[in-house]
Amino acid sequence: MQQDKYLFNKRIKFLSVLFGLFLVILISRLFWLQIYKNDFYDQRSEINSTRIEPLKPLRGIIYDRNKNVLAENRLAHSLVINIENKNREEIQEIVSNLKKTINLSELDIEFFKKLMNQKKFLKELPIKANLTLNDLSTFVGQKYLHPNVELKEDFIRYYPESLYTSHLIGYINRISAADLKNIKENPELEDKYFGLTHIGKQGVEKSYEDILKGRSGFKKIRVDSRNSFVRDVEVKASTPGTNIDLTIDIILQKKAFELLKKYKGAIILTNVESNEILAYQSLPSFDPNLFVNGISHVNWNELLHDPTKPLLDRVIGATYPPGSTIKPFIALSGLENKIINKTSAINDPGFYTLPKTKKVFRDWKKEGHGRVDLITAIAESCDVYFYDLGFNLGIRNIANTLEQFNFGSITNIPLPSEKSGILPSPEWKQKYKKKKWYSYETINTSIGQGDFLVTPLQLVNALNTLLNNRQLPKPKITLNDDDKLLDSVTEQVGSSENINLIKQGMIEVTQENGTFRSISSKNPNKLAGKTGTAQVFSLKNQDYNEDLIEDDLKDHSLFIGFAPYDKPIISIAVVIENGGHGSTAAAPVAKELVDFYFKYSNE
Amino acid sequence: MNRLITNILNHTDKQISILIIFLMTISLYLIGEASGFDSVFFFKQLFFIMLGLIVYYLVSIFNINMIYRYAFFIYLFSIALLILTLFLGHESHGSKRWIDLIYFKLQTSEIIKLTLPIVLVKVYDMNKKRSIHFNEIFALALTIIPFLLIFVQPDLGTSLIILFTGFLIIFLNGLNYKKILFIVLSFLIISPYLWINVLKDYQKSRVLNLLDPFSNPLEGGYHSIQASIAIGSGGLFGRNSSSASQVDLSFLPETHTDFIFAVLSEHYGFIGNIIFFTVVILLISRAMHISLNLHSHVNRVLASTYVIIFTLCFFINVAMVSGLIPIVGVPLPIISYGGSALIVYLILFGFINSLNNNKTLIAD
Repeated sequence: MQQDKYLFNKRIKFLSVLFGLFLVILISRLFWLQIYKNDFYDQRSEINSTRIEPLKPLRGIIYDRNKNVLAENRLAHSLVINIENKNREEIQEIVSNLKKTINLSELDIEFFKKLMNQKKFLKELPIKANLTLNDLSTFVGQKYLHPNVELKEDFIRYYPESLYTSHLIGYINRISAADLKNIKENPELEDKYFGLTHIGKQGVEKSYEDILKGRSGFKKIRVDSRNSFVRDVEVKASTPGTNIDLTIDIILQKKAFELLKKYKGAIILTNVESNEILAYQSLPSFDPNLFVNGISHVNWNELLHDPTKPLLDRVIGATYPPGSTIKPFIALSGLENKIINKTSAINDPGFYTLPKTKKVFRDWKKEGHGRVDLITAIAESCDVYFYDLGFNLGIRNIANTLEQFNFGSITNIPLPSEKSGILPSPEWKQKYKKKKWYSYETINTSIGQGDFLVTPLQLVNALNTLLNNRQLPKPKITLNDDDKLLDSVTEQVGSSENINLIKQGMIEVTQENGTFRSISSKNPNKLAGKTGTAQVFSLKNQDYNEDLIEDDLKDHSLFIGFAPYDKPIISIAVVIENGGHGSTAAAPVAKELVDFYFKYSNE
Repeated sequence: MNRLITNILNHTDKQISILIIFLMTISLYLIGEASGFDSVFFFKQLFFIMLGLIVYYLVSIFNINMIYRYAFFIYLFSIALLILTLFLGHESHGSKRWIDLIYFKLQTSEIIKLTLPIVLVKVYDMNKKRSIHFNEIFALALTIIPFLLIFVQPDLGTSLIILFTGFLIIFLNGLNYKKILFIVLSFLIISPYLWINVLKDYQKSRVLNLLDPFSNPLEGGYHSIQASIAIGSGGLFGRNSSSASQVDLSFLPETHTDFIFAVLSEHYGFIGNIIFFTVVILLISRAMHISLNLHSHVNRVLASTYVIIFTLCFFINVAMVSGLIPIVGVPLPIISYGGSALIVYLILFGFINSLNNNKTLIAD
């Protein structure tokens, strides 16, 4: 018995020690978890139980100069599918069920699947955005059939002027995979795009993306293990995007559209002094609203493969030979380089022979202009005068002058994808064609042909430079930009005497003997300018006969002008593709818009 | 009334009673925090506490020495209940552990926890003259039967406790070290076999999850991770309800049962745990003190076995919730929600009171 007790006590002691050891281990474990690793587990707990929901900002509104809305955010209804705790088959069934009530396009379903495959742990996925009133009423009527589909309100971008402003305003679209990659590579951007779903893709929407987009706020909410809302923890309101007032006037914009409607081409109407753009039109146009929530394949292919290229912004994205519209600038180069003066004249027999060669260049007027001085040469657009002048100037002088007018480089208008055109020179040819410069190319350049290419915007910008007699800052498209730069640039491009001579020549263009003499008797707003006809296709030893030529090989019709010529307020550039002579297509369009401008602004 | 109170005070150990009532209060409060003070669990537990206190008192005034006479009958009754459970058991979470008695579900494995020690000490007491080997084999056989019956429910945790109970009594009755060594070695040798052929996949994955819980965060490792987060985020002083994510936002499920220790840890932190440990250890040492001072060897072995089982369950639960051992489904004694277990533990302490009250005059 005693032995039993002795043994028992020994074993109890052994177990006590063992259990004491366990106790130490347990307390150490708790110490480890609760004290040593407390921060780590605090964090895990926080991650577990908080979700951050972005509060989307409203994108800035775009107005014209008179506060007419050009881009706004409209309240729209969309349908979302509640996918919480549902597998693929169940979700698919919900979608096919919904199809019976609402017309779902392939695009809707495709986009939905894309979101579903991203496998974010979202509670709901959008299935159809921007419901039509018809869809809306159908759905509301049959809502009881779709317990897992919910109606949501959202703002979507809307362009009320649609076709009239498409190229200038551009459009936004859903952030694409490529955008996302770009955003993710830049931590700063990633922060800025938190919660945003759309991004500016073209036009003002793209170039002013940074200020238009605004900044998401967030709602930090506490959720439980079922991801259900428990309470708000922290709310930070979103900051809406900045509104933008554009310099264009929607009335002028619409008028320009109407005038250009039957053509392919571009019009830019600007304020001479401020270099503000008043109308910016490229035709044919497209409906930017198609893009806002992802464009369908059908619509996209249609726009992309349309031979008239409606997506091309012809104001800054297309380049044309300037043709005779370059002549005033060549003339200024001649005056500034003292190759010619006011009175120097030549005799034009209707052709020009390049010195030391037998190469013959014809004038557009077969029989020639006879005796031609500077003013007449501009007014009548005498080719031979400019062949001779160009030859005497040499390409270097020509290029130097034209560079001052920003030809060959972008104007830096705050719009994406502006083209620089080509200002040909021996250096340019060596660099891009790896060939020697020939003097006949100088001759071609002096009448705006050959490799010379400009955008319509460059033309009007150069004209404004000439009229202001100083190099200008970039063309203005918003009223919000500050004007300091405008005053800081003072460098003259020529002597005012010379500039006046050139202007005089351009005034003569719309007088009795000028190329645009058809308006000489009815020019109340004193439009002056220069016509141009740009060859698309050069005919060798063949007379150019408009009737025998296919439409898309016809010459481009160009016109640059300003009014009133004694005190210029507005300037204009018109390019009409395959429009024929400058005086028959582009110039009348310009005249009508200018007249409309004065009529409208005097009202 | 006064006589009743006096009677109660005379038949129960004051320290044990106070500590148990204190622990049950903590339990009720934690269940309320975990499931809501208006939840059915709270009121059910409140009812079981009341019932348990009556049972505790009744057992305390009852002379337990009488029970030895019916030891085998009680044992057979317990085994019968276990067999019945296998056939008629109420199934929940894939295992059959309960008999549905309409008003409450009886977890029959809790009863054998109480009755097995009685029959085993009876075996040793009965057969003092026989060889020690006979007693050991007999005791082992009586242990293996309930062990297997519970193991197939399946309830790994409780079955291991039953097995441990059998070994504990054999050990306390003087199992020699050669045999202990033999048992340990043979266990080591057959354990790979057990791993491959006996353990179910979910049990294996629990063991594996323990080694690296974050490898499988949404499946088996989930409980382990969430419990660790609950404990770890409690810090030194705990978090109040508005910032405690794990329990209040139900990231950790079933907190009122096996994982109630996580509630305590998250809400009251390391300090709360230490206070809780102190109370439990005071209870254990008081109960152990009483057990060791009983006058007969049989009673000493019985009482101390009870105390050790209580302690072991406590340790296993804390180790399991804090991620030291695999999740084996052992509730926290007295604290976890569950009527059967609570009443069994109260009977257990009632027995200790009873043994204390009926000490023989002559100590052996």
